[in-house]
Amino acid sequence: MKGIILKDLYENFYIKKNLASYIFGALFIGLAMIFINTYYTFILYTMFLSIIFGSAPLEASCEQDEKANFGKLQITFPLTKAEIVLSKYLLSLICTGISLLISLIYALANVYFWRLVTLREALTVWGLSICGSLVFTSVVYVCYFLLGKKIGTFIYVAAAIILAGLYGSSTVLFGIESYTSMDTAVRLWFLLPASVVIFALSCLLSIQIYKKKFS
Amino acid sequence: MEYAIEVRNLTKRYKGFTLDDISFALPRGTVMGLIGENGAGKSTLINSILGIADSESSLTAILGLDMKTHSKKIKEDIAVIFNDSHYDINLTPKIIGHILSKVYKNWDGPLFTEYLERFNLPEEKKIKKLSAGMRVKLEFAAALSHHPKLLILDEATSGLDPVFRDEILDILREFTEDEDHAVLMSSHITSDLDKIADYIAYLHEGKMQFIKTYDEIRSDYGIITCGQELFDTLSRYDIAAYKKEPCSYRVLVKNRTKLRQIFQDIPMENASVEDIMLFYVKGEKVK
Repeated sequence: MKGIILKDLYENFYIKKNLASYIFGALFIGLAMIFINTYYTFILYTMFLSIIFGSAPLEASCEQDEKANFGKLQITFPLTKAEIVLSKYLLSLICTGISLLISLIYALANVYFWRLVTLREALTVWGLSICGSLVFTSVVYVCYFLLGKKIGTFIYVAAAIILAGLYGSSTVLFGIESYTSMDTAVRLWFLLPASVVIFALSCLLSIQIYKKKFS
Repeated sequence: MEYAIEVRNLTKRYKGFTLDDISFALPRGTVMGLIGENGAGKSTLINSILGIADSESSLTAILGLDMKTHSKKIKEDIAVIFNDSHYDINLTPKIIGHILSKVYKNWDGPLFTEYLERFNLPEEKKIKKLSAGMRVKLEFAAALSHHPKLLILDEATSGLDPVFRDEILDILREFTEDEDHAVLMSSHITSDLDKIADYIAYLHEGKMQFIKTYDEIRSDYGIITCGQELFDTLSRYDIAAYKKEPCSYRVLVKNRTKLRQIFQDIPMENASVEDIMLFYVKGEKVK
């Protein structure tokens, strides 16, 4: 599995086009974090950072694999079909982990540096971002394995836009405080394990899809 | 005898195509050429043997192990080469080596570097800047650097010019010098098989027509050009296929030695692998 993860990392960060889009994305969000920092954007950045970047690696590697028809060669490697899928999910966990770490640093900066939110509020939003990124990756990855790169990317972008829209409308309908309320913090005890279960189910479903594809 | 590949009753069904009840065995230390027209089922057979495509069989064993239960272990010892590079064209041979070192337990980095030097492949040059021949050479370098015991080539030499193909055949000869190694090679270019194959397996419309040693092919098959009278006297069991021409018949016979004794004066041409394939595909069968 290490080989597949390494290949995907090369495809994401060695190929200039893909590296450039990561740098552009990071610069854009980084500058936005510094210059437009309100209660509203704090929640948006903290959640979106891990949600979008966590599932980005598959988009790039899927594109490169389809171009080179790498799947045909990959299946001759000493790996089971389940391990091939698992390696994709492991990479998403690594990337989600890194982006969650960055968003945690950002959240803590908002507590201790900019003094925009309390520690409980920051951790609640950060907890929601863990759930959001796991569920988002779960949905997007199944779409990639089922429908391929083209439709997968369309769904990835569409899902990100819908998510942003849902965030905007939820702040109008329920108020922005609903994201940082005590109720939400309590609900996280249910939401976190639920999102882990969804992630595991997504992985199992993707394995079945992949097996069917190569049968 | 120890076999590199042993397949019994392998069947794979697709909509409109069936690879039908294939059985064969490839002894170690030999090269088997798999021939057949486009769509005959060569790639389907290779994919089925490798477990890339699910199939039914009473036995699919590679290097003495059952593919169904030991596929991971088997794949450590085999290498598959297709007719083009399947690595991302933005990567370099050096990166490919780095990736494969994490894929195969017995990856041999110095040997890979040695192959790159031997094939004049620059380590740092992106694949997209390599010619088609160099890409296939990279595939060979990558495939041979984890010390495989079985090489499976799926039309790997198709897109190459004769000089490159000859080099590749040299590599294969070198590879099979080890009696433990074997090669299964599907190819349209039957002249390559003339040079290297010990066995020829001929697949036609999903059915295995024959598996013979190269020597058997040379000694068993022949082509007779004759008129109606002689054609009628030939036993239908001796005729593999025939082509009716304006004033004569061209007949592919499969019992050359016997016929030579009976019809001593008739000129009989040698049948090449390509001739045999063309007769089976385009010729008529005796009913």
